[in-house]
Amino acid sequence: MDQVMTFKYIFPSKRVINKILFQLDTPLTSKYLLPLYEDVFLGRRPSRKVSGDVYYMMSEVLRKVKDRNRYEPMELAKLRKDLLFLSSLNGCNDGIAKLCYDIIKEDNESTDNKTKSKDLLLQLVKHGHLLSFKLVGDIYFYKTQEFDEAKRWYSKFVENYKDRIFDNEVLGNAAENLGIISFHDGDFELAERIFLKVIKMVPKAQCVRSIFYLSQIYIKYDPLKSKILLESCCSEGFKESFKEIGYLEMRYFENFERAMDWFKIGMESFDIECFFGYFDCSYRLQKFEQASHCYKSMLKLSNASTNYKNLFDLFVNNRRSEIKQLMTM
Amino acid sequence: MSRLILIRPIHHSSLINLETQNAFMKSTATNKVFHILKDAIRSNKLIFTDDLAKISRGLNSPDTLPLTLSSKQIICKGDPQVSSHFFKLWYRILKFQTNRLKTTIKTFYRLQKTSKPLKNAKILQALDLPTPAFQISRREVVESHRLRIVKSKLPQLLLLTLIFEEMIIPIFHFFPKLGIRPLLTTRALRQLSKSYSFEKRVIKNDNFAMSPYHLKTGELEALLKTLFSCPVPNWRITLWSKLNIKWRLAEVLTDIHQFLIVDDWLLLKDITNESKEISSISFNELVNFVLERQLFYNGEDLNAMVHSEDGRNVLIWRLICYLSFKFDQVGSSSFTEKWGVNNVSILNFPGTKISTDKIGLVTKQHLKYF
Repeated sequence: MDQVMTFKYIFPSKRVINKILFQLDTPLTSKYLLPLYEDVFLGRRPSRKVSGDVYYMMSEVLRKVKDRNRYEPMELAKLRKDLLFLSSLNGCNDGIAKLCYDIIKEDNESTDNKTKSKDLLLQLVKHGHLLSFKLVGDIYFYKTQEFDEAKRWYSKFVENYKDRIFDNEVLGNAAENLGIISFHDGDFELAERIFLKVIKMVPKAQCVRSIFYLSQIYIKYDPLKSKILLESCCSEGFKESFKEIGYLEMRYFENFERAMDWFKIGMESFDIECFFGYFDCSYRLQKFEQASHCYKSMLKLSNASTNYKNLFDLFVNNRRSEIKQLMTM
Repeated sequence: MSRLILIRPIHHSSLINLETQNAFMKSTATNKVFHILKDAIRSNKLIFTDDLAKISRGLNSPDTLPLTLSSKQIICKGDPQVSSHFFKLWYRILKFQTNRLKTTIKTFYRLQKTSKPLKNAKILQALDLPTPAFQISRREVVESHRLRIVKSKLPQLLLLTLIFEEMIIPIFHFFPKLGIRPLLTTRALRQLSKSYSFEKRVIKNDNFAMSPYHLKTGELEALLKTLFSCPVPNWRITLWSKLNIKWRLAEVLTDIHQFLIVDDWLLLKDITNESKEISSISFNELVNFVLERQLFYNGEDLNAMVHSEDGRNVLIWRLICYLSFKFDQVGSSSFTEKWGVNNVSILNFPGTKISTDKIGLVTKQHLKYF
């Protein structure tokens, strides 16, 4: 009884599920799925036979809920994992591929499990299963960081994409990673084209990295455009964008007040470069008290890691006179 | 952030020193671009001509610029006897001007139909790559820029034509700022150039490393009004300034600055291109180059200078000094690394100093150095 209450408490409303099902363009209805979710959550055997594809779709719905809320309770995470497992047991290739990917990605998994997953993924790839191409690319991109291999697999996925109607998000993610690889290879022209395509294709929340990289491409030649893109990133809470936009406002647009506001938000995530920017801005605006407080916070923060320590030393070396003046006040 | 860090100040030691012969030799000894351009001039790889049949097509767009000779001079050159017949001469002049108006309208109509709408920032971004993303000639860049300037003048041109009808050409002659550039007579251009001379420069280059936003609104307004290549009409600049819309003024300045970089870069690339035998630049392109970069003193008649041997040499060496200063120690793709593309403190900087701490231009007395 307790578990039934927990399920009712944590599970998203029917309205949200209906919205997501509409987004996923599936013929399944919430009326059909909600009892199934409850059955799986409570560990009961479903009253009717359910195919692997349905289980996979159910897990996808939960993933979308996670993306929407940017938070997932432990119980729902377990439910999502169970659904993925059930889908792979019932012969859904997408489910098998995702489960294998999850196992390979995890560091805590045993090597035996990992080799089995690799074999399975290899078989799927040989069979021409499209999502597996993307997942193999993901392994090379995130796990082993072999970008040439990742590029090869992502390209295969994007080229063959037309054969199957995928969720745009999956394609967008693969294309985004492809763009990032091109960006790091120095092929900015191609990267720009890819990022622009991704931004058109995927909702803003899912393509923040594309927007950020695009802003980095434009920052040299079209700072105004870059600023607009960075503001868009900031509205999505992308951590790296706060210091970038802060420095852009401070050094290029000479708007110290606004730069200070951006740095202040960045400081909440303990980014030491935001502290440097905040110090410079407050010193320039002759807000010495704030500059002094900022310096003290930096001193504390610099002990957190060697990287921060090195950056802080460099900063202190370049601002000797300012710090000296603050100390004497 | 590389752009922000890599904005470099101007080191006076790297300027071309025109104080004495020795100082000049010393300052140009390590400047590779200067020697390349000097060799190009000496070996006739780079030539300046008023013969339209000889000029490089990808480099020049003479139809979009005013003539360097007056219509009377051109007519009398072809038929010397005509000057003694007053009515015949004026009939010919009127006919010549009407033809010129017709060809100008045709040229700009063609440009409107064919030119690619590319932003200067985009071109600069493409050219800055180790392998440029697309090929673009200097002619295309300058034509699209000149088209923008002409387009900005169209409403007032139409209005004036409606009011004054055939009197429009004399009006342009006496009020050159109202007219469109390619139709300006030599006298009108001389009058017009007074507002864009070297002495009128707003940035005095002692404040290093600045982006367009570092300037105040009033300074931006004054600066834009002294730039010959500004595609925005003065009334609009005044309006933006009065309403304190700084970002619009700053963006116009960025655009002009980037246009000048692209223009310089493509010109230099064309001259230093080894596969090309000769790069020839027309007289009116040379005059326009000097005008756009404010490389002339107040009172100098550029059209007369370009047709005299000494005057032309002065203009050519000003051009060479300007390019050599700007592109010294710059590889094929690292202009941004040296200056930062948005550092407007090098806008219209001549690259030469005439005494220890005074920036000045090449004049006739300096010609013996070269």
